[in-house]
Amino acid sequence: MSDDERFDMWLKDAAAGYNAPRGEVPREAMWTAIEAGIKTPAPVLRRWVLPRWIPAAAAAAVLVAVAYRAGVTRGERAGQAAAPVAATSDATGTYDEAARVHFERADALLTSARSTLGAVSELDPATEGWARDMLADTRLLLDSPAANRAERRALLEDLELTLAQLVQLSAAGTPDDRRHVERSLRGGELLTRIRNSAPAPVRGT
Amino acid sequence: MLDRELVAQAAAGNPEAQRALYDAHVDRVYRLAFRLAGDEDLARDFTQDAFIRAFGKLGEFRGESAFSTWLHTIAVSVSLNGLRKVRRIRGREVEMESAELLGTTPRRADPDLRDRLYAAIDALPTGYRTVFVMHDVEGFTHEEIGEALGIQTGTSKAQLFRARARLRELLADFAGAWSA
Repeated sequence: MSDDERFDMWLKDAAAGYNAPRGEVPREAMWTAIEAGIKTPAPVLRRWVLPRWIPAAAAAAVLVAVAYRAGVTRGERAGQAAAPVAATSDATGTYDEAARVHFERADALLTSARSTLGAVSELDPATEGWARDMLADTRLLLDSPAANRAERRALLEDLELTLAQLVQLSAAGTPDDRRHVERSLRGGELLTRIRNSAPAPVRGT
Repeated sequence: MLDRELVAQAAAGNPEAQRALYDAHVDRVYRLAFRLAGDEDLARDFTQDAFIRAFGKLGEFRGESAFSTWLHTIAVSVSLNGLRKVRRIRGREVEMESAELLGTTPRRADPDLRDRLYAAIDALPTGYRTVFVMHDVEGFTHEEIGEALGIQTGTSKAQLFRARARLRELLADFAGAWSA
């Protein structure tokens, strides 16, 4: 047997433990999240005719607020310029775009918070600040026509609750609060719903 | 019941068929996601997302390949995209940490051979690592890998060869270990 063959054989054996799953496959927990994800499929973004009663200025204000916050956050944390968010020509599309940007950021925050909470008992100040910003934006979206759709409203409400719990953890979180937040995040249902409910980007953005 | 019949029923929205497909394939998808992610939470996320996407796209499945191959294509795509996103987030977190913290990585200063091997696999380019994990760790064939990654079988073989060569280079200090 050549040295190459010996190495290949040794490698297969030694690599068997690389990132090996521990314990049972969490079948039921994953299925629960999958069922929730199937029931709230990603909406197909359509180009509606602009309803005249929707104040375009209000839509733009929501988008600007959310996009500004996203830009400031990215700029502060990564030292990069904020990603531009192009304005859309109709108000409904603008709210969809605001929601998409918001859910993308929520996904990043919750994924980050989940890994942080696995190692420490509370959030670091920067992540806590990020969560506070996200909470304010979530409430802004809840008060806007972006929450007119029942599915999106339900998701924003669940997100608001989880963000509020996250923020409170650092202030006066009890072990029960912490377990509750961890359960929300580790259950995966909220994250899965967020990832599957964000509409596709508006054409041209 | 055959996968083909289950797929047709699942595509029509039959929850029992969806559950049966899930039960038949979840273990391998989860194992693969775990091997690629190295993290239980991410493996769960990727597995869930893969099934949700697969069920949402069942109407597009033409049966030209095995359902498992088609599903693994989605699972690998979801996992690699998810890992890219996680790396971006972790990169941002590292930038947020102070300079003193950057030196305190969890890797041990003097790792044994197995730790060195795992670190070397982590350090492989994404393409090499994916092929190596799928073939040498999870036992996929080059044909299955080619279909799942959208590459030629020959490319899969070449990437595996290069991955092993790279690992051998990185583990040169331990050359006697596999000769003994």
